[in-house]
Amino acid sequence: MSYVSYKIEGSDLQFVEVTLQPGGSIVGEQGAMMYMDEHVAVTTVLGDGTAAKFGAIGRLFKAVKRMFTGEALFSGRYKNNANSLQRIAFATPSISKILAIDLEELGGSLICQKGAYLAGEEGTEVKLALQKRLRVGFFGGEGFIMQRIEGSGLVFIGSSGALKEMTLAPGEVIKVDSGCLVGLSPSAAYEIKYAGKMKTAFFGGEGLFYASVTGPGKVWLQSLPEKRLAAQLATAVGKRQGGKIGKIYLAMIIIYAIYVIATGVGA
Amino acid sequence: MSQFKGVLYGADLPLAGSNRTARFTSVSLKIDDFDDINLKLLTVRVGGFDHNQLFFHWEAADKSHYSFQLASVVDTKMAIAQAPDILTPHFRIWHKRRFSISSVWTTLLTAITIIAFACILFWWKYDEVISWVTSQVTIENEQKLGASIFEQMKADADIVDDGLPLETLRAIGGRLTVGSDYDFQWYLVEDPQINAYALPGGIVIVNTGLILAVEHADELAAVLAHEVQHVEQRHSLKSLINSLGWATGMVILLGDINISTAVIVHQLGNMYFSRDKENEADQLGVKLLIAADINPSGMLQLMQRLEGESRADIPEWISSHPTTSDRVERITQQLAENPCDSCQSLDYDWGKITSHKTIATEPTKGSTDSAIVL
Repeated sequence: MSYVSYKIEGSDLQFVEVTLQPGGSIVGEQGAMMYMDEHVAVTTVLGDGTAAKFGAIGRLFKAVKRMFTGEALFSGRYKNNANSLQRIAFATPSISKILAIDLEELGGSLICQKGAYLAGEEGTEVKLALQKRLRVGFFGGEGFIMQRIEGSGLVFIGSSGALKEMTLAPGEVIKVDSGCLVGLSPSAAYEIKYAGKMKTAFFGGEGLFYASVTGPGKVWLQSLPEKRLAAQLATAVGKRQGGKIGKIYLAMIIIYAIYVIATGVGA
Repeated sequence: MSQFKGVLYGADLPLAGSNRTARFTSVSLKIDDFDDINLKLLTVRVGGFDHNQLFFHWEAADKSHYSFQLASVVDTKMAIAQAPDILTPHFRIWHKRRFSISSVWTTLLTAITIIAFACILFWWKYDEVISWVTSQVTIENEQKLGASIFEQMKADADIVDDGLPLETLRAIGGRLTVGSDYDFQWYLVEDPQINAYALPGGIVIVNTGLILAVEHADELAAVLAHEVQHVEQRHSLKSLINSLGWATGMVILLGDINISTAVIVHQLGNMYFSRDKENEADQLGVKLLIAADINPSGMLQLMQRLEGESRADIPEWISSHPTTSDRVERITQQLAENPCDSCQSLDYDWGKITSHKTIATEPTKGSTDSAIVL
């Protein structure tokens, strides 16, 4: 039934080599393609190329919504037009592991962190999943926008750092540090809990809140969220201060103007 | 009782769950092809990414855990409606969560809408807002401000203390400001540049260069009327408040910005405002002249004569003043629309004034730094 088979290569920095059956096709993130066989035909499609209501405008609207989930406005559709097997490989743009998920196994849908989607079989679709609870959006470390990948077939998603896959039994809870969540089944509950102790909050280095995921469902965790890596690198590089001076200039204007207006003593 | 659909999750079931139908009896939850679960064992959870899924959760006799998730909104409503009373307290968490999400988002959207409307209104009524803020400053404070600026200027300026030109200036100025709230003071300063300016609170300073460039008293009257309107309309204060507004807006909208962007954007904001106010002063100046029955075409004559020798063309958008040709055009149009039949030219012997010893020594015309600013 499936037109594709795949092989994930590399240990910590990975790419996925997908083998397309004749007539099979796969949609990939722009710029993620690493190499492909001669008879793979590439077309650029708006969004993920899936149909939408209201024709072209609907498709554009969908693609823009998809863009908010950290994907490009356009993506590439790679189709095998030959009579033989054709290979195509996608690599992640970061220090990351690739995860292959069969959506059918999860009941047809999966929630992922922003920008996680790498490639997916024709028939899978990336949608915008808006976090409806403010506290989860603010303190969960994933923001308000995540990806809801729907459809049937294989999808490949990228994580950052090492990867841990867990299956939570109904009611089973796992506490997760903010930003470490890569993906979860839609049946799992993703919530924010107060850390409880001020001492932990201030000196524990984990913040005032932690995320918790409650089963039933699968959850994937990453060891090195990009934010954490970026913060480490930024410390090493030294922080840039440039932007602050303009603010000081404006603040001085405001203070001066208020002073003049209030006191009537100028210049 | 009718049945509702749901998905059953458990250790021995597929990961994506197994679709079942269920119904309540008075003591248990009856799930098809599965055990009857005693209601006392059930707890209610809210789950799913959208926090809109209702789960019944229980621990089986063999210590393994199970969840039954209601399939849809309809099924959830049906289950809540049909649940025996013993479960009612458990549903509190569900209702609370639904209510908190909907109320938070309603509040948030309302707030955003109100803020957006306020911003649009503010943008639309910007001049009125500035005028209102300006009106909160007393004239006394404005005069203090003008006086303190003038104190500093005095140190570098040669002020002409007496003589016919100063008297003429005071006479014309006095005629234009009869009944004004402001206590106008007129000063003549030794400076070849063709310029005159107004400080907040009613101090008007005229350069000797302007007196020499003027060929008829009507022209001076027109310049003074323009400056009087800068004072009356409180343009200095408004410009200060505009500057404050721009700076505040930029801090809010742009956050961290670098110094050059801040200066450029801020200056552009001020210049746009300033050009607007110059046009306003031109327009109201003409009105003031007409009200004082003075021939209102003086400004036009002066500008047209000096246009040829004015500074190199600076693009309007980086200048604090509109281009002279633009101003001439506007004034011409205004004069054509408002002819003044009763207006008369002022009767001064201008040759006598320009040759007066208090100002006559300065060379002006044709000097490279001469420019009309007004």
